[in-house]
Amino acid sequence: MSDQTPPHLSDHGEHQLPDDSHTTPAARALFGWTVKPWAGKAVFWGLLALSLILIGLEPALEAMSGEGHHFRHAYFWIDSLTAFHAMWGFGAFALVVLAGWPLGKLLRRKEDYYEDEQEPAGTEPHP
Amino acid sequence: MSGFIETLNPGLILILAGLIAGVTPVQRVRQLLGLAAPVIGIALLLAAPRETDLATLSMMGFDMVLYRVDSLSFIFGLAFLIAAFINAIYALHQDSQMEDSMGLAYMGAAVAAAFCGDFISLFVFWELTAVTSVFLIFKSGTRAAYKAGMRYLGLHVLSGVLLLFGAVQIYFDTGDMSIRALELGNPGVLLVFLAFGIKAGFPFLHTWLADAYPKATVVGTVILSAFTTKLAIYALARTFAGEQSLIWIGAIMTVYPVFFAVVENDLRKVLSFSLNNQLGFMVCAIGVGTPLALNGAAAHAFCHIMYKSLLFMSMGAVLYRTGTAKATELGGLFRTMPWTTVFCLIGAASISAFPLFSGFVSKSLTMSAVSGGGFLIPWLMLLFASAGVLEHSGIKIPYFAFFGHDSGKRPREAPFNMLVAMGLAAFICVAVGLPAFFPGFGFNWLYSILPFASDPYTMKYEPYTADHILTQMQLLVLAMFAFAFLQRVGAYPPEKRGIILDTDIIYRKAGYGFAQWSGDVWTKLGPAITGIFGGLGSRTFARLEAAFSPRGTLASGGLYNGMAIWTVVLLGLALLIAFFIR
Repeated sequence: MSDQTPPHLSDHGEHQLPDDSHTTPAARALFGWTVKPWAGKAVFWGLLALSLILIGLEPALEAMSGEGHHFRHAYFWIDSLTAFHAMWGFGAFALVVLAGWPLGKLLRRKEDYYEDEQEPAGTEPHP
Repeated sequence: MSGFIETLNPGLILILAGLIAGVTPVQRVRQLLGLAAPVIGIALLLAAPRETDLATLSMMGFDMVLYRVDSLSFIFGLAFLIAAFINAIYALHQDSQMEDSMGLAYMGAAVAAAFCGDFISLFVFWELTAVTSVFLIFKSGTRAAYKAGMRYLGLHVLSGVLLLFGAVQIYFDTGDMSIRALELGNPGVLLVFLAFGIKAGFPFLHTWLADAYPKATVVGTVILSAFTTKLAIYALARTFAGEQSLIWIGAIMTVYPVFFAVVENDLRKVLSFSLNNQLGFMVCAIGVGTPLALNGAAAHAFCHIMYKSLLFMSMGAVLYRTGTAKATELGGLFRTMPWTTVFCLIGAASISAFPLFSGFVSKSLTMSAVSGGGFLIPWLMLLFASAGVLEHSGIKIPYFAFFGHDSGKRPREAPFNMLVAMGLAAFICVAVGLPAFFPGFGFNWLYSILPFASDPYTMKYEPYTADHILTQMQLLVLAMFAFAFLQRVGAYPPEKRGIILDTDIIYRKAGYGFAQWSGDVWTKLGPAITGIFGGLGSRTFARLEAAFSPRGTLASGGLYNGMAIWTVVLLGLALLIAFFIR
């Protein structure tokens, strides 16, 4: 490190790449890809592609199940809609996450809100 | 000898081991006790004949059934004992006499309670779970843990008292103390329902769960997560199967913790909310009450004990190594804790009900039972909550602890014994989730130990149909895509330090404030009232004394004839009145 130029005073370390010197070989093999610069994009586009495939699969399987047969076993009118589960999953997830904004404002308090009860119970780290 | 062994409730073995551990300073001996007791318990349980009272006791005119195994108690007891064994491995690294002892006694009490046949013995073990488990919270040693422990104890002792009152009322009404199917309506039954409701975390009775569990010790939370609430689920399944109100109570239970979990910073607290949400699925299934639904509740309880332990164990390992379980302080831990990460992800996939994991084969039963019963709105709520589970347990827990923003923390991998315990739980999560490649394999094994294993719907129930897999994958993958999408556009709320208010603010702030205010008022009002009444009293006494004492007004002057005549007249009048109005 000594041969490198010292960081600029305005550099608080947020632009540095994470220190990977302690990363174990197993971790590198299993999850190393998650810190690659392309990982975020890959996950996004990969999930989008998988989503479209899963949605497209439903009418395809329905068509393949033949005349008079149904691939889906629907109990209600609503779940007989094509890709109902996909829409419900996306909608529910988005609603829950977006509800986090107002709920955080409404319900979040300082950690010492209940006077002498700092949360949570801390423990000694055993690093 | 074999006759005696057959009468031994496996829970008593654990309680006995706990008692011995309490007076054994040698760590190795306690470790051996912790590992051996659940194994002996499982052996006893497997050998026990079903559907017969194996141990009875008559006391104070009550016939108590101390040990009775049937297909419902079997699966809960088995899950408890397996969890006890895994917990013993998880605790091997630490030398804590009190935790070992109280943990064993607590687990034993829960197992013993599951095999009780009457309300009195259930009450005894029910209270024993409360008074032993609270030490797992106290052991953290902080003021927050102490106060949360006291609140926990208060509510759980209340639950026990309600159970006892209800049971006595039921006994006076029916003359029968045995645990059996009950119907709401009788006040005694209502008390029992409330007692179970407190332990099962019904809405508004739930606050102790997310309050106390995250404040327990690393090992303590793992132990706590498996027993208390599932004992309540077992008790509900035994007594209130088919009680329609449970469908709605359960559906609400699945939905509201989701919203608390999304804003919570303490990851062990997130898991506690998630635990509450999972209980909702079981409560809802019990409300539906069909054999398929009860199978769903039991299967879910079994799988849930395993994957929830696994998730708590992984967060416990993080807490143990880093000293914190707060999302704001964590991130990027996969670099040095890869195996903990893998096990956490297996737990996350199981609780989110991905195909090939245990949650999928157990939750499918419940979902099919609810939709098959025609309960549209509860079904939609459960489906909503399934996406919510993916949010907080499936993504938030592993993402904020092990990936996400790098915290710069580089702790060592979890201790080896913790990894073994997590590995064992992860193995069960995968093993019972796999398709039945041959009879008795994968989910087939789980379905074969369910309470109504011979129910025709369950017999031919196949979770791995193209329909199930596709719809579940649509739900999960699109929800995951929502996460990726919201992260990308910056709409995912950042984790922030702080606590989240829950309904317990009513008694922690308002109630506490009221108690303080009344105290203040009383310290001022008390002396004033004492003064007023004291003054009044002494004046009255002085008057009475002045009139009636031997030196008083009435004693002076002596008797005279008029007084005697009037006395005779009044007595005669009284006699006449008494004669006529008789």
